Parts: sequence; structure tokens; C-alpha cells
Amino acid sequence: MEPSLGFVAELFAHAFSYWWLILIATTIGIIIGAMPGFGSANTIIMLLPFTLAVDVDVAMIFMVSLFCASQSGGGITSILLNIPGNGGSAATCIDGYPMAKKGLGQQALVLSFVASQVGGMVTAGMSIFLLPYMAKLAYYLHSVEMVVIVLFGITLIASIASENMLKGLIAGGLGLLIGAIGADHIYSTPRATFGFLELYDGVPLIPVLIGVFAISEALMMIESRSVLSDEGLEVAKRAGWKETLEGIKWAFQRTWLMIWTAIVGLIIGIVPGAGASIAAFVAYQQARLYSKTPEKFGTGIPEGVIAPESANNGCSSGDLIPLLVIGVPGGTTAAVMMIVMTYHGVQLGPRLFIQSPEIGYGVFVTMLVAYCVMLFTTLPLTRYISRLILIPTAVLAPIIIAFTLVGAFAPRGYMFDLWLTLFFGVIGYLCRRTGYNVVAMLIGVILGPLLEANVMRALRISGGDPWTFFSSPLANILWVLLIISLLIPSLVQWNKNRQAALNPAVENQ
Amino acid sequence: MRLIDATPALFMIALSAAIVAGTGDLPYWADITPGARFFPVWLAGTGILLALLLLANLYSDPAGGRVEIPDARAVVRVGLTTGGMIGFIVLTPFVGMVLAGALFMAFLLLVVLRQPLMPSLLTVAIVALGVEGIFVRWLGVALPAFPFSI
Repeated sequence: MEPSLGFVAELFAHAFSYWWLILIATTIGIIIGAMPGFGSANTIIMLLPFTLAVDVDVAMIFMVSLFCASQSGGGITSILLNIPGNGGSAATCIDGYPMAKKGLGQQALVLSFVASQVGGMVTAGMSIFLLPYMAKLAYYLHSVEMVVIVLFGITLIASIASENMLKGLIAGGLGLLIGAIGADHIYSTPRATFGFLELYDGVPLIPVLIGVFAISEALMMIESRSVLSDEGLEVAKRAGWKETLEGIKWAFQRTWLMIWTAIVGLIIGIVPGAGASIAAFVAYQQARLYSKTPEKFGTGIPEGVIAPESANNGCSSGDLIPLLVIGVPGGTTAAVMMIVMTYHGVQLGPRLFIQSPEIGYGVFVTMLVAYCVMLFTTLPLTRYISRLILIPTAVLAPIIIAFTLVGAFAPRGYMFDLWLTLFFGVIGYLCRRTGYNVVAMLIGVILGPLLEANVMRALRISGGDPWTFFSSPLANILWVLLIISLLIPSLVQWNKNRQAALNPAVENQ
Repeated sequence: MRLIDATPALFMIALSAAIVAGTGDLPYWADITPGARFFPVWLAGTGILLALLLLANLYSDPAGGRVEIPDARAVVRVGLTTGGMIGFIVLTPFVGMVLAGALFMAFLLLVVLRQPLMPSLLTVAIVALGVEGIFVRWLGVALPAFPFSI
């Protein structure tokens, strides 16, 4: 049953009456989103005394706003410092940081915020009216389909590696190998943990993210003593309101990209266990694939910032759909929200939309309001936030190292994670110095375990039949799309070569 | 072919070998489906193959994979920073994370990056207060504390 427009308008007015709470929650969300090692889940856990004490609708408004804002905030440090605030914003570094280095950090921030908020609004709006249909999608996406979706993300390694295929594949392979460390996903047998208990759950993502991106970047800064070129510095110093408007214009010139990458994020988010990281990488890979100028990706172009940011915020709505519709949380933050809702006596599952539709639909209406509020609060701040890059690198590098080492320790509280961060920092630095792509490595670390888990699960369910991967119509459609997406770059190149060969012939006539 | 150019390939081979050795006692096949060792062994095999390809490339075209080595002063700065981080991690359990972080930053600013004394000390104080304020007081993270702190 779809909600009536009048009902949605009522919910909108109710959520908007708590604008001050949304403002507080989104501010906290953006700050913690930008802090590597600290996510929305930890923050909501720490604020449980508040969310458990207030009414359930107020608690939901607070949690949902904080959750959305944390996804948007992750892009700030990705763009300005090449340090992703969370896994979902790792793909933003690929083009966001090169933009900042050219002195276009403010425009990149605006693109990131507009894409996040438009993507979030589109998917929240879609979730309100298409919820019953999208809920069914979760039933059709099983391990077999997930294998193909994860492969979409992994093919990005080949795209990134196109400059030096062997080096790119080695970096991706290194990431996949690192991802294979830890207990296996079916039998929970610890493997290749080298006797470290701390590795039983696999190599934790935060120390890898911080090491590979933040520490290695700080070491590069210390080595070269500068981030911006002289020209870039001049451009960055001149940044003002004009640049904010320019960023908004660039974003809305790519409205269709924002919409379809957000939908990619929404669909991936619906699958429990798949998260914003895979959504962002898949969206980036697809945006590059269908771009007229794929060779410019990675050099600092607006499309490379818009696609991952729109997708990871689209994923926020998707994350909450299985929680509300079937009572299965799609991610860690959704799991914490489930605790709060259950404490307040909210019954999750299909009955939620009959017994308490104001809660079920209210979640997505709150998202809509939160993204609207953020659109007006974040954009004016970009010109000030972008000044971060003007801090002298001799001061910035030590601050980055000190803060991120604390961030690496915070999630699990193990000293071991600090050693791991240092290890990956040195590996990341060596990779950068020797021309190996650290993003390709990160894709392997994030997607490798997901691929293995889904392959093993599918084989286990089918009794070891490899044909299971081609047993469902949806999976077969996805396989065809995957093959097409792998062939398109070669076909485009072949066509370009053919045109180039024909043109001189035409000119000679 | 210089050793530094071949280091990534050698590291890949070492890691692959370590993964194969680390999964030695696990089943490759369990009942009707692949076991816990299946995936890592295939990945390690592919890793070794790629590394050997890279070594072959370097052998046939030594200039192709040549790595640019930074100048000696830059190497010293990076080495000292890495050493400083090791010192930070070693010191943390004894003096607490905030104090260890402050000492590390002071070392980095004054010794490695040769920054002026007063601005450096001010930066150290601001960051130490920031870590204490944000992580410990606001977010309630239990960082290793100084043994005699209140």
C-alpha cells in the first residue's frame, strides 16, 4: 500500500517541526563522518541514553539525520586530504583529491555535497512511494546475484589499472590477498592470521583505510613538503562565493548522473550486508564506463566526485529498507537503530506499515527533510572548509598523523591496530612511490571478502553445483550486463581506431 | 634490474607464500564445496603469477619499471617520521595516548620538519587538547591514559 500525498505532507511537516534537532544531528553527523575511524554507528551507540529516553519519533529523527549526514561528511577529508572518512567515501578520493590539488577543492566539496543531498533526496523520495516494490527486490537478490554485483566493483581494478595493467592488477591482487586473511565465511576457521587473535575477524578496514590513505599521504607531504602546486595554491586562495555557485552549476549540469548513480546505491543498499563502499565503487565504475571521456577519470573531474557521493548517500535509504520491511538490518547503523526501535516497542517487519505507518514512512520523510536542511547549511560552509588545504603541509602532516592514529585505535581499542595502521601506511607510501594504485588495493581489501563469502554461500546452498551462478534470470541479466560493461571500453576504442583510420583515407580523397 | 624495482614483486611473492603457508592445515575441499583454503590458494597462485610476470617485464625492459628514488633528505625525513610513529606506539601504553601523541608531534615539528619553536608548541598544545576534548571528553573513547592522570 503506497502512502497518500496528504499523509506524506503531514509527516514532512512533523519532521520539519524538529528542524533544530535535525540541525544538531546533521552537524554532529558531518563532523564524525569526516573523522576516519569514527562512524555513525559508534556515535548512535554513545548517544543511546538520549535516544532511549525520548519518544520514538524524536529518536528516529535524530538517528536518521545523523546517519545521512555522516555519509555526506565522509567526502570532506577524501577531497581535501585524500583521507576517506569512511569506506563509502574511499572512491571519492580518486577524483576529489586531484581536483583539490588543482585548487578546485571548494568546487569539489560543493559537488560532493550537492550530489550527496540530491542523491539522498531522490532515493528517500523513491523509497516512500516504491517501498513495497523495492522490498520485493531484497527477496530476489541472493548470493548468486551478489557475486555478479561485487564483480562489477572488482572490474574497477582493471579500469584504474589501464595505465599500467600489471601494476594495477598486482595492487588489486595484493588487496584481495589481504582480504583473505581471517576466519573464512562458511566454517569460521581462522586462516593466515599468523597467530594474531586480532586478525580472526579479518584485517579491519579502518586501520587499512587510515594507513593506506592518511599515513601514506602524510609521508608524501613530509617528503615533498607541499600538496598544492603554486598555480593550485593561487586558485585555492582566490576561492569565494563564485566558486560555490560554479560547483552548484557543475553539479546540476550532471543531474542525470546524480540520479542514476543514487539509484545504483539504493539497489545495492537494499541487499543486507552490501554497503556504501561497494555502492560507491560500482557507481564510479559505471559512470566511467558510460562516460564520453573515460580517460579523464582519475585526473580530477566532477563526474568522479558526483558518482560515488550520490551512490553512497543513495545507499543510506537502501540500508534501512530491509530493516523496516523484513526486520533485517542492512548495515551496522541500521542494527543499532533496530535496538532503539525494539526498545521503544516498535514491531519491525510488514506489520510496521499497518500498525505504525508514521514510523515506517516517517524514516524516509525525515531523510528527505535532513537532506533538504543540509543542502542549505553545508553549501555556504564549503568556502571555509576548503581553506583546510591552505594550512602549511609542515603543520598539516603531523596533525593528520596524530589524529588518524587515534582514529585507528578508537573503533576496537587494540594497540595492534596501531601497528597495523603503521604497516599499511608504509605499504601505501611504497605503493604511491612506485606507481602502484592504492585505490585498486583498497577495492581488493573491501570487495574480496564479499566475493568469497557470496561465492562460498552460493556453492554451499547449491550443493557444489557451479551452474548455480547461472541459475536465476536476474543473475543471468546481470552477467550479460557485466560482460557488456567489460566489452564496451574495447569496442569504443576499436571504433575510435577505425574512425581514425578512415578519416585520413577520407581526407586523402 | 635494481633490487628496489623488484621489491613489489618480491613482496607479493612473500605474502602469497605466507598465505599459502598460513592456510596449510586447512581443507582445500570440504564435502561437496570448496573449503577454507580454496580461495586463498587461488589468490596466492594468481599473485605469484603476476609477480613473476612483473619480474620478467623488469628483466626484459629494466628501464620500464624504474622507480624514482627521492633525495637523501626526503628519505631521512620519511624514515624519522616512521621511527617517530613506532616511538608513539611503543610509548602509548606507558605515558598515555594524548601525551605520546604530543611528544610525537613535537618531535615531528621540531626535529624532522625544523619548524619554529613557539608555533610548533602551540600546534602541539592545540592538537593534544583537541584529541582529549573530542575523543576522550566528547566521544567517550577510552584511550590509554597517563598512569597518574585524574
